Amino acid sequence: MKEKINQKSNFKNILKRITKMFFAQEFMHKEQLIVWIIADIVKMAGLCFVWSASAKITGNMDQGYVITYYVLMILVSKLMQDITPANGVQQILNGKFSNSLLKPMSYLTEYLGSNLGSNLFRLIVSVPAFVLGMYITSRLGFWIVDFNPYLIFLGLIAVAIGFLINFLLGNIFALIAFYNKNMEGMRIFYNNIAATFSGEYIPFVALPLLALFTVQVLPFRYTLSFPIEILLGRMTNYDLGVGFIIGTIWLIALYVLYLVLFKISIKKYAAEGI
Amino acid sequence: MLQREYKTTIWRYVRIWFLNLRASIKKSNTYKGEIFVRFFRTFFILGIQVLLLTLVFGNIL
Repeated sequence: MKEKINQKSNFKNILKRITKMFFAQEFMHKEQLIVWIIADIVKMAGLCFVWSASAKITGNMDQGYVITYYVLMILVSKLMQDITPANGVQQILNGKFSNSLLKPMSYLTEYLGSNLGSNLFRLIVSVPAFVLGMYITSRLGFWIVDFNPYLIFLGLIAVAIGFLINFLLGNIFALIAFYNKNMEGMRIFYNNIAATFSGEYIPFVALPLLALFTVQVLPFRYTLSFPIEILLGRMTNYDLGVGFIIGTIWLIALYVLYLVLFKISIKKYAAEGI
Repeated sequence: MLQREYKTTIWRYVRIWFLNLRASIKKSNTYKGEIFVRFFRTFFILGIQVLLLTLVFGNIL
């Protein structure tokens, strides 16, 4: 019992230190990061204009819903990002992954800390853009969120589930690097799939019923769109319940899948880069 | 030892170009998974673009 408590506090301490370390590391390259964030905001603004124009022309969606959806995305997407498909894959390919295997903790703890550190920094840098977006949309009468504490609480739980799903998906994807030594095309393809089915390019409110059912069953929805849909406050209690159940099932299934695949894939690791 | 001299006519460069082409085709066999994914991705992107345009402007097909 005592050993278990020690392990738990050890994990927390290590995670806290790694998060702090990566926060400081991101701060070192803040100029580059700020440029990335500006590029992200420009992309979101572009998508916001396209979909609000579409809502106006077709009349299928509420313009306020679509605009608020993309303004919220500026903030929520920063909390959900996972850098494993880029960094983890690179570490396996260049052999630096061996260092992670020798450390007295799971390499997932290190990756989790690095994600938390960089996401925290990105979140802080994105806040001014979010506030500005919120102010402009409120002035134009398009802002529809009333910051209900209950919905914010549910949204935060959905963010935590979504981040973990994204993290596990990224780590499962990274395992392919044990078999395939050129991952650039696959990484871009993975990013395309994740961006399409997570609701980044197409808000789900615009999808026809069959496509909507498909994206609701896939795990990608829970990595971005689901928390935003909760915050928008247009979901029924039934939809909320179903969403949380599917998200939790995916989280457990992906964790089990990761454990099984890692056990099989690690045998193929040859540390060629060393 | 004297260095061997090569003719620097255009045909020499054509020959080098063909050798490079052959080597890269041989190499592509090593990365066939990557090439397949890139090929498949073009269709995926096309499908997404058609879906996107259909949703934005109504039925275009």
